[in-house]
Amino acid sequence: MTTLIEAKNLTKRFGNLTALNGISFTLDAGRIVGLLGPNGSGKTTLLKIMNGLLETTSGEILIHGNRPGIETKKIVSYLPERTYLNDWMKVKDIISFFADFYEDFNENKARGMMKDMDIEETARLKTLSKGTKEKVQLAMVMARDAQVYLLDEPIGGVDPAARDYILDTILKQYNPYATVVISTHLITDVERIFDDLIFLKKGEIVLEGNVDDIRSREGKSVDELFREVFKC
Amino acid sequence: MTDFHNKSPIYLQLMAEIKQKILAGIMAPGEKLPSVRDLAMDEGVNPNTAQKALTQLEAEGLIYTNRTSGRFVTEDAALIRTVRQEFARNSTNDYLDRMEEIGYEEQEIPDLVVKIQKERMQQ
Amino acid sequence: MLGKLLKYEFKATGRILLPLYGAMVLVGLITSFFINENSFGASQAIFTMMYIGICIVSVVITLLLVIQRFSKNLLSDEGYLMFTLPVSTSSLIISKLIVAVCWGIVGTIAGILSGIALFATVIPWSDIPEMLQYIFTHLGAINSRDWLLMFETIVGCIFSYALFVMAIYTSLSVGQLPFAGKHRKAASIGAFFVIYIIYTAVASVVGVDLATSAPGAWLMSLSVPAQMAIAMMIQLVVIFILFLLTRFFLKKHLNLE
Repeated sequence: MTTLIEAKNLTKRFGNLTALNGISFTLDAGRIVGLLGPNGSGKTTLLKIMNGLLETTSGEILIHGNRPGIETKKIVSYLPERTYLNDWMKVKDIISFFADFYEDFNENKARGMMKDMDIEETARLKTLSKGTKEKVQLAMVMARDAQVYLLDEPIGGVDPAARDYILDTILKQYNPYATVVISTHLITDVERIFDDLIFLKKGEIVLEGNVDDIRSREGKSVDELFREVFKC
Repeated sequence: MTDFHNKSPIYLQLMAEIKQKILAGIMAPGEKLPSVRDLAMDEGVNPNTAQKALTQLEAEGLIYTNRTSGRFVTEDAALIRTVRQEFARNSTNDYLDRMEEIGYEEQEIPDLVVKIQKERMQQ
Repeated sequence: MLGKLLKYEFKATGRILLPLYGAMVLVGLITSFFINENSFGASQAIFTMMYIGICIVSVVITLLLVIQRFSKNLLSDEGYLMFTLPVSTSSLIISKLIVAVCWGIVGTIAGILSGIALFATVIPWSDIPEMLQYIFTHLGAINSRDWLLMFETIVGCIFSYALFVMAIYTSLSVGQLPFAGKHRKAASIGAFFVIYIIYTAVASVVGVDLATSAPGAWLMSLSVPAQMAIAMMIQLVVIFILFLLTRFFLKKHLNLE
């Protein structure tokens, strides 16, 4: 198994606040990883560092051997928690936009997903509901043939039926050369698709490993374990 | 999609389900199994989980891999019989243990079983 | 990649500015039908106000767009998309600068055209061919020095505008820094004033120094076009410095919410 993501003593400070405190981990290709932790644990900071939106204070992270930059952005597909699409564009404009900038973007797949989700390509993004915009965003991210998928709360704002569709899409997208990192609060719905997980608490890794190993060791579901580890 | 619970390893649960189908004859000897990907999609589990389940079943001899055409249920009828008997033996022992825990005498068991079976047939 | 960024930037801005500038010219044309009589009544007043109105609106919207294209597209939610594209921070900044300056030029031309349109009804259109011919035959009379001055003046204006735009970008990128917290707008405005204060302060200090020194005497001895050229080169240096600052803030201290 090849290591795709490697963090070494990663630290990120914002003034006096330490968001990430010297964490180290490796993620292999072909794994679906759950990045779990309460708000303020450093999850979003870690994801932002991985996709080049933040610089590290010290330590480093390598994606396919490269530090975050133009080369890694070509192979990392990021779904943020918020809608980041240009409001004035139509759905088909967004598809062209992604096709233009990302070599690994599969236009047919994107169009297919729009059809599946009953979204008109001529619709202006401004007119779509928040939930629909999130679905469009997800489709753009998953239609890329990337090596790393970073999904921040992918099923957060959608209805249960859409959740199933999204989880199915993630599974369908799976290939042994890509790593999927999912950061979420809705653990019960998602934990059956995780290979590995990382529990982040106050900027430190408090638990990591193969999910099934953890299940047989603890005799609990990940959701139950989470509640235990992060008891208020 | 099977309702797996999240408390114990999912690959074990998946294995148990496939094993049950083989032992009951729902999956016939020599029948082709779905690919890892299809199995994962159908059951809504991680492909690595599906892979692990199939690998384990192969280690137990219940399925085998033909490099070019995929995975198949074993055609070794004797093996299936043996595993089935083993499974029945274990289940029966579990049952007898539980009945003993609540104070049933050994001689009461056969009559109890026949009585319940009759009730089930009438349903 | 820069080309692609330019394409989308033009699309995003053109859909607003082209109709706007077109309207400006059109209103000028329509107004000319009303104001070039010798009377001056209600309709004249209304149309004159409309014309002035749309000119002001064009300037204001052009300016607001420069600000919005940077702050909304790069520094708010859309920034999550733009900064994860496989493009350099430099390309992002340069693409916006180029498009902003282009529209500055187009807008100015549109303004001139609409001003001419205002007199459409009184321009002796039939005499135009003759006038143009007169101009062309006498073009040669303009000596190369005057051409140079005209050219430098135009380029100088463009550079000044580019500097203005770049200063806006730098201010906005300062405003999104963590220290500003929730007061992004105030910090940006403050940064803008600081930039211009420093710029003019340095310029005047250097100006006084030069005036009283040997290099200054040498400069004064140069021809006007040469002096202008030097001034423009200084502007380019300032633009470059502002660019480096902006890029530094966006690359190393990006603070998307």
